Amino acid sequence: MRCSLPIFIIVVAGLFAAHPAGAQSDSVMGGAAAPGKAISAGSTAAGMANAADAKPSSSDTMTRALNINSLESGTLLKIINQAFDTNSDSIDPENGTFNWKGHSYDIGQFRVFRGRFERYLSLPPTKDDTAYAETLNQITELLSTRNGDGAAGNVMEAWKLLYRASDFDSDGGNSLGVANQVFNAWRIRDEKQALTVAQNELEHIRKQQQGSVVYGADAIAAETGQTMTDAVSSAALLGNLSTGNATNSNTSSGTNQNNTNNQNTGNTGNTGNKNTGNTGNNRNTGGQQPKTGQVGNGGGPGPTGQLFRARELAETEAKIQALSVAGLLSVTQAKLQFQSQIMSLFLQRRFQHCLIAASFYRFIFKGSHQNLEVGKKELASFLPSSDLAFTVETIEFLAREAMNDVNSGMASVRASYDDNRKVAALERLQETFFLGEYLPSVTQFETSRKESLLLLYRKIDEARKLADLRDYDAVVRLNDEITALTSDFRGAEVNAAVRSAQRMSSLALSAAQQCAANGDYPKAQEFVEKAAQLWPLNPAIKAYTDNMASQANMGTQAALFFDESFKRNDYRRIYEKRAELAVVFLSDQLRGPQLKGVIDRMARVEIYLAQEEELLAQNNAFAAWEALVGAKAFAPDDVELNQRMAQLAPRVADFIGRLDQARRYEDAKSYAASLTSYLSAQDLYPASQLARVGVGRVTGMIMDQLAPAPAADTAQAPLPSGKDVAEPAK
Amino acid sequence: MSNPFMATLFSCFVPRSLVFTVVLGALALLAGCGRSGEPFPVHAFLAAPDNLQGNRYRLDAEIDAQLNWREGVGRIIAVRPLKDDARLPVFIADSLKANLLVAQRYRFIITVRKGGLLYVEQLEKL
Repeated sequence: MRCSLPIFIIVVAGLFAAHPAGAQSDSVMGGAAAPGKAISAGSTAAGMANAADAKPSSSDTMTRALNINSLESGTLLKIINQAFDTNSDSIDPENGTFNWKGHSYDIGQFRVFRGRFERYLSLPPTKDDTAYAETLNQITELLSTRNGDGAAGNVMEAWKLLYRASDFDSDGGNSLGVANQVFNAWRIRDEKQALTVAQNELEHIRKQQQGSVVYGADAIAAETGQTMTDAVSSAALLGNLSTGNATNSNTSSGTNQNNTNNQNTGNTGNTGNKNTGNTGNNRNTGGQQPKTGQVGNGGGPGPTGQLFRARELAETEAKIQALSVAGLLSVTQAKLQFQSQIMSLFLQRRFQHCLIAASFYRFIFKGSHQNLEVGKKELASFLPSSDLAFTVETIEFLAREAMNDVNSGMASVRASYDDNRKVAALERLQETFFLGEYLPSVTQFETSRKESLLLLYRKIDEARKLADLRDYDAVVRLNDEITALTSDFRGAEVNAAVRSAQRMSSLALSAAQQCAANGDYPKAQEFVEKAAQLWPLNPAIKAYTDNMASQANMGTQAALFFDESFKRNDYRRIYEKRAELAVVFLSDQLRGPQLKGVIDRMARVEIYLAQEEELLAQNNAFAAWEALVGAKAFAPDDVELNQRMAQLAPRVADFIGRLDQARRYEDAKSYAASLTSYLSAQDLYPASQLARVGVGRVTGMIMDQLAPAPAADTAQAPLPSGKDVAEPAK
Repeated sequence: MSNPFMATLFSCFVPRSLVFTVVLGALALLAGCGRSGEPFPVHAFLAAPDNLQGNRYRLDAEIDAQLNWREGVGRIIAVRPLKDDARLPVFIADSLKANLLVAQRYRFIITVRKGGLLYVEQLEKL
């Protein structure tokens, strides 16, 4: 990571630098354009609120101005997520992989791995970790070619230490696996040595058998006059045929069968040769050699004996080949197993164990076995541009490279931490942890620093989750805390993004309120949804919805209340709640005008009542009564009015009686009698408006009655008599 | 003239025929006054005007105010009886050609018409 971590840092820094720019460009396209337009929309909307005629177009204008539909709310979250992102770009949470040198490590479920990282931060290093690290270092030192030049004692000591290392919890049994692998290789090596001894013995026998065959062939050639070549060829031909059978039935039973035949043959041809053959071949240790020796010496000098000797020679050669193949297979198997173990340790990021196993491998296998037969594809992913042959040393190189990267990464973590750039330290630590989770430099990181970074990690993680939930108040609070913890956290950017979102939400809510005021409830609902989408926990949304709900509830109740009261002509109840009802029935085409009429009536009634109070204070009961009568025309069933009339009636009873009588006569079309009563009432209260108006009205009626036939009435009327009485017109 | 003392005194200085003529005239006059000169019952009228419909009375009253006037028809005047405080409306047809002023006192010959209308048939200034 001496090479990769700086590259990582540059890449990540470049991404961080690019993200705000991208966010800004996004804002220019959508987010930033929206606030600018929204501000103009706010002023436009305010102006429209004053202009009632502009109602129909106000909501549309605001919609266009707010540009809510095209607002990329994801931009905000992207900014915040970038600010709170503790994951390096080298980590792929979706696939659960970690990339290093172009190779993807499978880290399993990312959530589980995050849990491991948090656990690592929360757990302090123990003494066991220290002892474990020392043990592994000791093993590495013993296996180093610099110490003891690979002495067998050092190797054995290192092998024993592997069992000690495996006792530690943090080892995970990997040391035991390496130790077992070494033991297995050693066992195979011993078997290979035993096979070599057996193979050497068979070689010796084969040479003897070969001499016997040659000798027998020469003897037969001398007796029969055949050439040596022909004898040998015929013997070899027969021997091969027999050998082929013997090889196919390469079992002890087959061998015994041959022995039996040989014995019979020996007894038939040459009895004395059995003991001679036994004497000459019994010094071999192999279980089959004595029998083979018997066979070799059991043949007589004739052609049949020569045939059996040739077959025995072929059998021996087959056994030598079989032993050679068996030895080769066991060595190859051990090598492949060992290489697989080394590769597995490397891929598990157990780099120390990988180095230890590679060192053992070097001591166990010869230099010609260093080429890798397994894991070539995996190694090729680490070294994509190389076409070199991959050896165990290649894995060692990569393991050492990884360890060096981890060590330099931890140095970077400490440097960033000391500079109070804890976010950077946390990012570097997380990257380093993913690669060197099992290395001492990571496991023995200082507890105090881990605790501090854990606190920061948890706060950042909490803030990120709160940002996902758009709980911006909590995000701002946590942002302040995080900013106090470290100097390299982009708190100002987060605050700006949060404020932008809050402002957009408030603007959308204002638009919703204006739409609701204009009665455009679907549009208002749309704006509220947008406001909630931007900032779900916006307290103004709750107030708005509560207000709307109470308005809806109040609207229903108010409608019932108004209708009932209006039906009973109980205008006073309506008048007392005129303010609330006026708000509710603002857009009610039916009840709005009715409410206005009621308010007008009751306002006049109130004026009359006030006037009545004043007149009573002046002790003008008749005028007070007439004021009440005037109010009665507007609210005949008003309780307050009727109560006052009832209180005042005794004081003006006579006046009331005369007026009432006048009214009744008038209703009965007895206008003259009515006029008399009005005059009578006027006598009681000469300034009576009721009487005056009544007199005027009734006299008009009388005139109307007399007008149609004035001449007839005059004719019917008796002529006036007397000197001073004026004569009626003729 | 209906006083017997005055009649005796008058007969001592006037010829018998003249006295006789005067007496007959007075009787005739008294007979006429008794038919249309009955004072108007104000309180009875106020209490139940319909009960007096068709009757003819004499009403001495002071003109209080003119309530209405329609050309060619007549005028309605509020009068105050000399012996009562209540005001009464009376109709005086234009055909009577009367010149009326407030506070003038008149003797009205009235009939109570339908609806309680006090229709002035004759009036005489007092």
